[in-house]
Amino acid sequence: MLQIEAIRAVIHTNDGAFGRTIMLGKGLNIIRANNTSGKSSFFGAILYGLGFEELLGGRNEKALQSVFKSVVKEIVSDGTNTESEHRVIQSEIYLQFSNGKDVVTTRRFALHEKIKAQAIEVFFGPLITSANEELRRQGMYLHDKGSASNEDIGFHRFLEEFSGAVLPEVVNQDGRKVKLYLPLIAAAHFIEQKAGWSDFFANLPYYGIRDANSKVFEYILDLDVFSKALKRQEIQNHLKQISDRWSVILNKIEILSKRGGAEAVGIPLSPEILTKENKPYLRFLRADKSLLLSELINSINRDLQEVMSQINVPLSQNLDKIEDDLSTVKGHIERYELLYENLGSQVSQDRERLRQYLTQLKNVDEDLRKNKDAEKLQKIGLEANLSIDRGICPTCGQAINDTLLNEHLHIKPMRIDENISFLQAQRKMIEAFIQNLREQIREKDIKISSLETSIQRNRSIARSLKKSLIADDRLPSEEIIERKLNLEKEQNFIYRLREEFEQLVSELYKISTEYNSVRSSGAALGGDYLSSNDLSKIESFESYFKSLLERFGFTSKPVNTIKISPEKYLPVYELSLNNGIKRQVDIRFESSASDFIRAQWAYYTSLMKISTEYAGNHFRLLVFDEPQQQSAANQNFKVFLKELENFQNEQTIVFASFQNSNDDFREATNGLLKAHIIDLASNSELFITRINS
Amino acid sequence: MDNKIIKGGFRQRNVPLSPDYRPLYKIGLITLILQYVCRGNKSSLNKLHFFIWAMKSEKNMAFIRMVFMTEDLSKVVSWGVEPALNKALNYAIAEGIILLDNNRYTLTSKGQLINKLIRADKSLLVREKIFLSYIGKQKVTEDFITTLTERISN
Repeated sequence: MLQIEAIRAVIHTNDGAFGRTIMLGKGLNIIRANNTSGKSSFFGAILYGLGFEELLGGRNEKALQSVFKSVVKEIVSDGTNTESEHRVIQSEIYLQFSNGKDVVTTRRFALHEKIKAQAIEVFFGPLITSANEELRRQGMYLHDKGSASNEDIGFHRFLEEFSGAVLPEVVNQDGRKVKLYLPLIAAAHFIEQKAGWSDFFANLPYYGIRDANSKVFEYILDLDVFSKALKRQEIQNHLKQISDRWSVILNKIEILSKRGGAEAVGIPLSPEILTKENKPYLRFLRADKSLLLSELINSINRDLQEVMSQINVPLSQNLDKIEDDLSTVKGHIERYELLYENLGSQVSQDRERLRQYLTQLKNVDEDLRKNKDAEKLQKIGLEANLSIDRGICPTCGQAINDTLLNEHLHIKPMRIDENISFLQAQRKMIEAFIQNLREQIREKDIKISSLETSIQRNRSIARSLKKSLIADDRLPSEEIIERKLNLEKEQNFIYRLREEFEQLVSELYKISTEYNSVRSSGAALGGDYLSSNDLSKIESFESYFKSLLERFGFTSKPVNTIKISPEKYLPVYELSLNNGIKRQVDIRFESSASDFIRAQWAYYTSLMKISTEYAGNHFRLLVFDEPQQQSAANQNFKVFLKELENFQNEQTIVFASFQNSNDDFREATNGLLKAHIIDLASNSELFITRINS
Repeated sequence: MDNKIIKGGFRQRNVPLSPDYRPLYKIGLITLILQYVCRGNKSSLNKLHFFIWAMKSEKNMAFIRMVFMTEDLSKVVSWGVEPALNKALNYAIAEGIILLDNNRYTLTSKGQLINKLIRADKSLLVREKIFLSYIGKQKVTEDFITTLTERISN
C-alpha cells in the first residue's frame, strides 16, 4: 500500500526561492487549481518523487516541466498583475509517503549542479511534516540497470519492498525472464492529463513486455495466472532440456551405428515413453543383406570356425576350393558394383526431389505467415467494427466476398481459418514427404557405404586368393590367415559396439522415465489459463465496472451489452449479428469521447475496489490529473467524486480545474462531506510561488 | 433388373486465396505504409503500388533492401501495379479509414486507431514492419518515385 502524505517543491532562482508544500490525507483529496497554474507540473512532481516519471513520457528531469528546470514565472501581486521571470539555479522535490506503517521521504533534484537526476535520497521518516528530527538517510538510484533489482541502492527495489508489492516475473520479448516493473503497475494508479486519458493504460512505459497491460491487470487483481504460468514455464524448460539430452544421445547412437555399418531401429526422434517390449536395436547392413546383432555375431563365429579348421591345411590340398572361392568372390563384386551404381543414381534423384520439396515448404511457410497476419488483421477489423469484415459492402450494404479479385470471377474464397488449415494440411503433407525422403536417402547412403566396404573387402580377398594360387603350395594359405585376423578384429569391434549401444540405450530409458514424470506434472496443472478463482474476480470486476458505468451516465451503448474481454481484460461492446453469432467490438470505436472518459473513471476505480475487496496488489492509491475531459458533464463528475469519497481507507487524489469556474466547482463538490479540498483557484494562485526561507 | 436412380451433383467448393487479395490484409499494409514511410502520412497512388509490390514477398523485400544498400537503383526495372490495391483503397475510403485529398491518400483518425492496434501487436506483420522502418520516411519520397517512374518509362 502507498499513501502520499505530503509533497514539497523547492526551486531556487537568481531572485530568491519559490515552491509549495501540500499536505494530503487519507480518503479523497481534491486539488483545485486553474488551468495555467502549474497543476500538471505538480502532478508530475509526485511521479518524479516516486521515480515514475516515465509515465509522463521521459526519463529523469526531461519528463518535468520547465518551471523546475529553466524559468519560474511570478505574478507580482501589487495590483498591476505584471509578470516577471526568474532563472532556475537549483530545484528539488520532496515526497513524503507511507505504507500504512512506516513513513519515508524522498528527495530528488530536478536541477542541480553536481547531483544527477538518477540519484534519489530516501529519508526514513516524515521529513516534510516534522523537519526537526534527525533522520537516517540513504542514497539510491533510478533507471539504472540495477534499479529494480539491486538490493542496496536500487530505489524501485526499495519501493517494491516498502509498498509490500511482490512483483512477479514475466517473459519479455527476447524470451528472458524479467520483473513486471513497478512503473508499469503505476500506470493503473496515476492518470496524467495530456495523453493519459486517450486509452486504458495509455501511459504504460515500454519495457518490451508482451501484453503488459493484461499483466498489470492480472497482478493488481492477484490472479493465479502468474504462479501457474511460472510452473508451466518451468515444465517447458525441463521438457526442453530433456529433449536436448535426448537428441545428444540420439546423435551418439547415429554416429555409433554409422561406424558399425548399421542403423538403429525403434528410436523416436523426440522424447517418448519407451517400453521394455519396444527396445531399440541395431540392424547391420552387410553387402546386400541386413542382419541383427545376434545374427551378425553368429555369422562371424561361423566364419571364424571355418577359417580355424582350414588354417593348418597346406595350399596343395585346397587349390580347387580356392579357385571356386575366387569365382564366387568375383561374382559378388560384380553384383555389388551394379547395385552400387543403381543406388547412387537413385540417391541423386532423391536429393533433387528433396531440394524441390524444401523450396515448396519455404513458400508454404511464407504463405502461412501471411495468412496468420491476415487473420489477426481481420480480428482488428472486427474490433473496429468494419463492415467489410462482416461481409457487407461499406457503400451499398450488399453482401460481398472476402476478396479483392474482380467480382465477375465468381470466386468464393475460403474463410481465412479454412485457408490456414488448408495450408497447414499442405505443409504437413510436404513435411511428411521430406521426412520420408530423408529417411530413404539415409538408408540408401548406409547401403551404399556398406556396399563400398563389401566391394573393397571382396577385392582384397580376391587379390589374396590370386596370390595363394601362385604361392608355395606346401604352406598354409596366406589368405586364410589374413581372413582370420580380420574376422577376429571385427568380432572385437562388434562386441565393443554392442556394449556402447546398450549403454546409450539405457540412458535413453532413464530420460524416458524422467520425461514421463515431467509430463504428468504438466498434466496435473490443467489446461485452463484462468482458475475459477480468477474468473470470479473478473466477474466481480465486470459487474462493478458496469454498475459504475450506469451511475456515471454512460449512454453510448446499453450497459448490459458491455463485457470485460477475458483476453485483454478491457471493456468491449458485444453485438449480436443476424445469424445469432456474438461479436466483440473495442469499446473505443463505439463510445462517444465523453463516454470513453467515463469508462476510464469506472475502470480504474473498479480496479482499486475489486483488488481491495480480494486483498489484491493495488497500491490503494489513485491519482487523477484533470479527469473531467472531453466535456464530461458536471453532474456525472460529481457522481464520480462521490464514488471516490467512499474509499475512506484508501487514498484518492484529484487534480481538477473545474473549467476555471466557481459555479462548476461548487456544483461538483457540493455534497462531498469528507473530502480534503485544497483550493488554489479561488485566489487564482499559482502552484509555484515565492516562499520565505 | 432394378432401375435405381443414383442422384449426383456438384457443389462449388471455396477456393484458397492468397492474403494479398484479402481486403483487411491489404488495408492493414496500406495503413503501415502511410505511417512508416510517408511524410505527413500522405502518399500518392503510385508510391502505394510500389510498396505493396515490395512487400508482396520476402524475396521482394530482400531485393529492395539490397537495392538501397548497394545504392544501385538501376536494378529496379519495374514494379507491379495491381487492381486489388485500388479496390482495397476504395473499401478503406468507404470505411472511413483513409481519405483521398488532392490525389494523396492519408489516414483518418479511425485509420490511425487501426494503425495503432496493428503496431501494438508485436507479433503481427513483423517482417513488413522491419522492412518499412528500414526504409523510413527519407529514402522513398514522392520525387523519388516520380523520377524512378520516368526513368523506367523511358
